[in-house]
This record gives sequence, C-alpha cells and structure tokens, in this order.
Amino acid sequence: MSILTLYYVIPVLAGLTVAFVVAALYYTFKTRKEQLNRDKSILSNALFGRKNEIRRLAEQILTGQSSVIVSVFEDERTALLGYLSDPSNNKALYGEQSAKLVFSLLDIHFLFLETDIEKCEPAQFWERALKPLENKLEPNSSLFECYQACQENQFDKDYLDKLMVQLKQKGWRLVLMLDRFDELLGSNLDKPAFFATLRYLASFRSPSSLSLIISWDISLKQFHDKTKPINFKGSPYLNFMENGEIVLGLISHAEVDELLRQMLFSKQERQFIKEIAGRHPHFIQLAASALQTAKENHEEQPLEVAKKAFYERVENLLTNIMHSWDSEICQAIVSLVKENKTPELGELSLLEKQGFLIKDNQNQWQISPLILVEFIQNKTKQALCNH
Amino acid sequence: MQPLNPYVAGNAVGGSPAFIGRSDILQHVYDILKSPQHNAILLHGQRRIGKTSILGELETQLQQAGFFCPVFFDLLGKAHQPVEQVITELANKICDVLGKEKPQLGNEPKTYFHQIWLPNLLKNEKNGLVLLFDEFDALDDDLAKQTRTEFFYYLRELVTLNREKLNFVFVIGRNVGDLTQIALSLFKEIPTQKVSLLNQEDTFKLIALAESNEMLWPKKSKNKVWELTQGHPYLTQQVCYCVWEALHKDNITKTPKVSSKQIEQAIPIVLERSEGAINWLWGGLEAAQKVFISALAAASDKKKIVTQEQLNNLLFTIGLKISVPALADAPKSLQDSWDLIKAEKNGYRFKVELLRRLFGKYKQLHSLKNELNRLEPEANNYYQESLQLYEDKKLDEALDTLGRVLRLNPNHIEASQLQANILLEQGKLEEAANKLKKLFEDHPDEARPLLVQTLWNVAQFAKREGEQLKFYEEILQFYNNHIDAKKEIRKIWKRRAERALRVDDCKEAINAYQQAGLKDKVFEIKKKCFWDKYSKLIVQVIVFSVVLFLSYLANIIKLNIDIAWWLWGSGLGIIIALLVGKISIRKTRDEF
Repeated sequence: MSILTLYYVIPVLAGLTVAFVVAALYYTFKTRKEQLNRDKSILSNALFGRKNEIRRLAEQILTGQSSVIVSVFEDERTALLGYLSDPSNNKALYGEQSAKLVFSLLDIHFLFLETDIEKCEPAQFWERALKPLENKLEPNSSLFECYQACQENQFDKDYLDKLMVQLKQKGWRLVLMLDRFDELLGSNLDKPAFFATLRYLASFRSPSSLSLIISWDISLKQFHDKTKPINFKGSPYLNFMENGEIVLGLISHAEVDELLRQMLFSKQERQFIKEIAGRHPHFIQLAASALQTAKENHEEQPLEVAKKAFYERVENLLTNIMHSWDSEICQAIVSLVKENKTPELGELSLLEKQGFLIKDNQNQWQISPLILVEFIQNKTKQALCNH
Repeated sequence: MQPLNPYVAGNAVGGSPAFIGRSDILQHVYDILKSPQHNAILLHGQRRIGKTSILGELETQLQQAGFFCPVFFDLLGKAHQPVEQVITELANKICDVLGKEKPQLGNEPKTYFHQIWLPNLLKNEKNGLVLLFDEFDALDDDLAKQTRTEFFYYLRELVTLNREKLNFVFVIGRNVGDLTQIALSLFKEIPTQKVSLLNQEDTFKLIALAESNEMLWPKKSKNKVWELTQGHPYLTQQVCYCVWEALHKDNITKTPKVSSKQIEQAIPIVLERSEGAINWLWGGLEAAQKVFISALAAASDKKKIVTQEQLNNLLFTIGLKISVPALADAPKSLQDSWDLIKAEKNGYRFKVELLRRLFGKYKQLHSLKNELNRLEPEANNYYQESLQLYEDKKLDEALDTLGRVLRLNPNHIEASQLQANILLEQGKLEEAANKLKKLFEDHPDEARPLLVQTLWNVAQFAKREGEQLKFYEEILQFYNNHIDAKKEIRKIWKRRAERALRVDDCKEAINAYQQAGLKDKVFEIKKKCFWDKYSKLIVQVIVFSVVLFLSYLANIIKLNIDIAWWLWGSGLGIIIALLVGKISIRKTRDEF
C-alpha cells in the first residue's frame, strides 16, 4: 500500500494539484482580463443610460420631425449623433424605413475650419449638408436633376423646397444632423434668411422630408433669445422643435446601480462614486475610472486619491460648463452653494433638466453632483461667473 | 417594428391627415374668395395655435379644387431684405407654382411687377391667385422701418390691383392691435378671423388619430384631454403624443387603452416639453398682464375661480400694496386679445387648464419683481429720464424725477434703489438708509445689498461708539451673515469689557465679553471676579478654622477642657483671619 502510495498516488495528486493551480491562475487571469475589458467598454460607452433618448430621437426621425440634443458633454452629444447615423444600427433603429433615410452629419465647427467663419455662404453650407444625398442619387434620375438645379441656383430656398418635395414624393428623408449648431451664431450664416429657410424646409410639411437634428449645449430658449435681434417679431426660428428638445440629463438610480454593479465596486465605493459624480453618466464614468486607477496603483487611501484625480480631470470641464451658463444663472447657482440662497426656477429650468439642480428630500434645491459643489466652493463668485 | 406615433407636436400639419377641424375658418376664407367686396383676410392668433397649418391646408385644398392657384409665401427672415428682392422672390414663387419660367423684372422690379407683369399674368391666367402670406408680422420690425413702410404701402396698392383674381390671406402671430400704425392701415378694411381653440368635436377627432394606430381612447379619456386642453391644438397633440409615447415604451402585445390616470401621469412631461410654447406668449405680454396671469396661476387650483380679493391678497405678499390702473385693465386684454383667461361671475379662471399649470410652473409670481417696475409705463418713462439725469450728474433733478416715479408707481424697485444711491452720493447716508429700510419691508432681496452697504457707511461715520454699535447690529438684522459687522461688534464689546475691568465693574465686563461672544474671557473674568469678591471671606474662614483647630489640639494635649482656651483660640483666629484677609485682597488687586 505504502509503495503504491509512494510511486503512484502521490505523483498523481501532485500533478492534479499543479494542474488545478495552473487552471485557477489561468481562469483568474482570464476573468480579470475579461473584467478589465468589460470595465473599459463600460467606461468608454458614451451612450450608457441613453436608451430612451435614442428611442425618442429615432421616433422623431421616423415621423419626419426635428429634434434638438442639449448636453454640456460634447462627447455624449457627438456619440449620440454618430450612433443614430451609423449604418450598422440603421436596421435596428429604423427598420424597413432605414433604406429611405439619408444621413448627413455636419459639424459646424469643422465646416468653419474648412470654409472660414466670416465668409461661409449658405450655398457652401447646403453643398456640404447635401453631399451624402448627392452621393446616393442615381445620375439622370429626376432627383439628381432636381439636386443639380439646386446647385446651379446656389441652393436657393425655392429650389431646396422643390428638392424636399421630390424627396417626399419618393418617400425619402434627409436626416440632417448639425453638431455644435450654436457656432453658427455670430458667423456669416447667422442671418434671418438662412434660419428661416431651415425652419421652412423642416417644418412646413408633415411628415417632413427633412428631419433636422441639432446638437449644442444651450437651450432653444437661449438660441431664440440670441437671435431675437435679427427676428424681432416673427416666430422663433426653431420653435417647431420644442417638442423634440432632448436634454441629456441624469440617468435613473437603477441605471447608476447597474453601471456600478457591472464594475465590481464595493458598496462603499459605489456610494462614493454616486456622491461625487451624481447621476451624470459621463461624471460617473470618469469617477469610476479614477477609482479604478487608484485601486490598481494599490493606493493606501484609494477614495481620497480617486477624488483628487477626478477633481483634476473635471476641473476644466466644470469651468466650461459654468461659463456656458448665462451670468445671472451662474450667480444664482453660486449663491445657492455659498449663501444657501434659494434660486428662482424660471431661468434655471434647463439646469434642472440637465440635472445640475435637483430637489433633496426636504424639497430644497441642491446642486448636483458633489464635485460641482466643491468646485464652486473652491472658487470665488467672480472667477466662476465673470465671463 | 412598433407603430409610429401619429401625433405631431411641432411641424405644420396642413395637407396631412393630422389636420383636423377649422372648417369655420376655412369657410370664412372661401367666402372671402367668392366675395365681390373683399379679396383679403387676416388670420391672427397665438403662436402654436395652428395658423401655418391652416395655410398649408388651404394650399392643398385650393390646389385640389382648381379654381384658384394658391401661392404660399413665408415672410419670416425678410424684414431686412430690400423690397425689390422680396418682390422678385414672390414673382419667382408665383411662376414656380404656375410652372412658368422665372420672370425678368428688369431694373425696377417693383414698378414692373405691379404695373405690367402681374396685371398681364392675371389677365392671361384662367384661375385667380391666392397669395398666402405667412409670418406677416415678421415684417413689422422697428429695426427695418424703411423697408417695412415701403413694403406695406406697396402691398396696399397690390390689394386693390385686381379684386376679382388676386386674393390675399395674411397670417400674424399676435394681436391685431399690437401691429404698428402703418401695418394697421393696411388691414383697416380687411376682415379678420381669430384662430383660437378647436371645438370639442374636432378635439375628439384629433385625439382619435391614433385609434387606427394601435391605441384606444375611451370617452372618459377623451374628456380628460378636453378638460386639460380645451381644444388647444398644440397642447392636445402634445398630451396625446406623450401618452402614446408612455404606452408604447415597451413592446406591447395588445392594443393599449388610455386611462385618465395615464393621461395625468404624462402631464409632467407635457409641461416640460411645452415650456417653450408659453415663452413666446410671455414675451408678448405687458408687465401688468404678466403679474396678473402669474398671480392667477398661483392662486387658482384646478378649475377654481379666483376672486379679485384673493388675487389682491396674493399681490400684497409680493409688495403690491396699492391699486395699479394697468393691473385693473389686465384681465380684459388677457381675455379679449390673448384668449387666455375667462371672466366668471365671481372672478377669473384660465381658459386652458394646461396653460394654468404651465404658467404656475414656469412663470412664478415671486420671480416677477422686475415687472413691478414696468407696471406703470409713464412711471417707467420718468425712470429712464432720471437715469439719464443721474448719468449727467444732475443729482437733484434726478431725485425730483424719481420722486415722480415713485408717486406714480411706489413699487418701482429700481427707482427706489437709484434714489438711495443718489442720496448716498450726496452724503445723506441716514436718509438713504431710511428709504432702503422702507424698500426692504416689501422687497428684501432687492433692498438688502445697498441697505447693508449704506448702514456700514453710516456706522463708519458715526462718532460715538454706541451709535456705531447700533448700526452694526442693524446690519445684522438685515443680513445675519455680515462678517465685518460681526467683527466690529465684537471689537466694540471687547473694548467696553476692558474699560469695565479697569474700574472693577465685573458685571459690566462679563456682560460685554458675553456680547462679544468671547466665552473664554467670560469664564476667566468670572473666576477672577469671584475670587475678588469672596477671597477675603474664604481666607478669613480658613484662618479662623485653622486657629480654632490649633486651639482644639492644644486643648486635647492638655487633656483638660478649659473654656478659656476656646475663647482665646477663637479670638486669636478672628484677629489673624482679618489681617490675612486684608493682605490677600491687596495682593489680588495688585495682580489685576
């Protein structure tokens, strides 16, 4: 028995043990790698928690209506536009109709880099905006001829209208996505005729063959206030889009929990992230990433280190956010943080929609997330609001 | 794929199945087209009420009927274009609709269009033209006065050119009375038609748009929507849109039936998405109308009629303590011109419940304090005058004018502030402070910064410490967190405490330190004062006790009770205690 044990059982057991250890190590490594990849994909998914918004935007496109995407997070806005116009998503989002949709994504910032902000003419804008449509048209087709007539007539409103009518007759729809649309303000395109044409083409018919999707960090109201000097008594240019104003605000508590649960944070860590980042997916992702890095670096106090790193990463972003607010709104927010002075909601409703202003359990207005509160506390009112 | 939301809350719906009702308005337009006396009509109404949709529907129907050739022409964005350009564009559009080549209007397009091209066209065309001018009021722009005047005169001539074959439908998104005189002169003899709410029957038809599209509306639910929107087309579409969206959020297996509860649940989203719709309305209202409508929204509950007394009580709370004529006139204009409220036997109520909720949420009364300045236009004009005088450094004259402003409108906050500023500049600090204190009673937020600053200046100039203290304390009454005032108060009380200590006034010193909030000092002084007061007695008692004890010891040693020893001991104790007491007091005092 003992010889048997010595010569056979022990080596077998030893072999099994080694195999077990190797397998355990392999699976640990593999799981860890998978987890890291999953974390990475969660942290880089700019559209987390935006399922409802995507659905609403797709619906607006399908019914030929126009929308405005409002968010202070540029990446989120651009990712949303990219997702909606990505051919690989078309079938899932638009079903059978996807074949009849022509997407044109135009970043106004890049348009001006190419054309010169002071010289860009409406014809140049339309040339660029209609390029994807032009590429899709069959030569010698009636639509192509209509497009050519447009081009020859410097994209005159009546010719553009004819093009839209033809598109409608063919059952086609141009989905014109204009990223950073607010950069038009103050440019050579900031003219009544240009905005009026855009409004007419997109809103006069229902369902329209032109679905506008505008993206920026201001509200429609702010846009209308800014264009008031060139449109004193007429209808606000984009008021037909009010129903389609989609503010990328907070995601639900359940979605936040889901996001954090996927990343295997402890309860305390999840609470920490929720507190400093609020329910803004972009902030949550940055905070989670900071905490993950702190943990990977085996910091003694990972939460403290993560908080500091997160603050440093969002400081510029917060400065830009606060500078994007009107001075009065900025001051009201600073007064709420520094003097606990209740703001009047009238002009602050956009901030409420964006989730920077929330009501606490006692029904009192509070600033969210905590990192923004700290940021405001660390700066003077002048530094924050004098812009 | 899920069915698509059939409701349209944004784009014009003329010529599409989503266009419902308005048969009375369309009939009125057809009557005008047939009438030998008239060839033009003005449609007016709030924005988002469906005027462009009516034009779109007219365009479609007229095209189908074939007797008239409709030409839709949008005037938005054309206020600053030269009249020649607008006329050329109009001619191009007419040709486009008629399928003709672009016209050549030559060097003088205005004259050629009016005198040659258009008359010839009308002569040759079998059917008459109907020019559908949308956004006509966009031309009524003060910044483009010359173009406007020229174009309006030109249009007046066009209207009379050929009454039989040239017809006009003008659309404006405001009240006729709000147009400038020159625009009004154009519409003087033209019939007008108000575009208002849909009737109940048409509203129900609009709601039922989705019934062929996988959503059922029981009568009760339709009534609920009617209760909320009273046929406001935009809000009806919006409510139905949001309800449809909520019910189709998840994949549905059977046709959902809309309940009143689901409609009510959708209302917060409806309000959020309709905020913009009231912004335009708001922009067009006069200050008094804004104040009135906000007060009505704040005071009224669902369907509740608000009495004038209830409104007055509410206005009182925002500082409106006197009657303002403009405010008394507001209900009539809000009812007749704006179609927003309805006068009832006992008071007023909102015509559309959802508008009440929108005003209540987004245009809250307490945020309207700036509107109080504009309640009396005449007072506001005087205020502008006084501002100019102030800038020109004519301070006394500015004060006189401001007096006039405040007599006309005691609620003019900016006038009160400017008055105080001028008094401050003139060095009349206390007078300025008094004015501001009066303003503070009704408008604390507006008065506070300047009042606190004024009191601070008054305190700085006060000669007596007591006066200074009074002003600093007053500052804290108005602004409890004024750190500098707190510091100064502390300094004064500290100085007072030190002075009191120098004259051995412990009570006063302790009180002063208490006022200064210096708890450590209070404890220290209390200790010292206690010793000061009772040390003599304590030392005397101790010394007496010690001497007595020694006497007792001596007595024990001797083992003989002798009353004389007791007497000697006690006597000696008293003498020594008195002596020690004297010395200790002197020493304590010296230490101080």
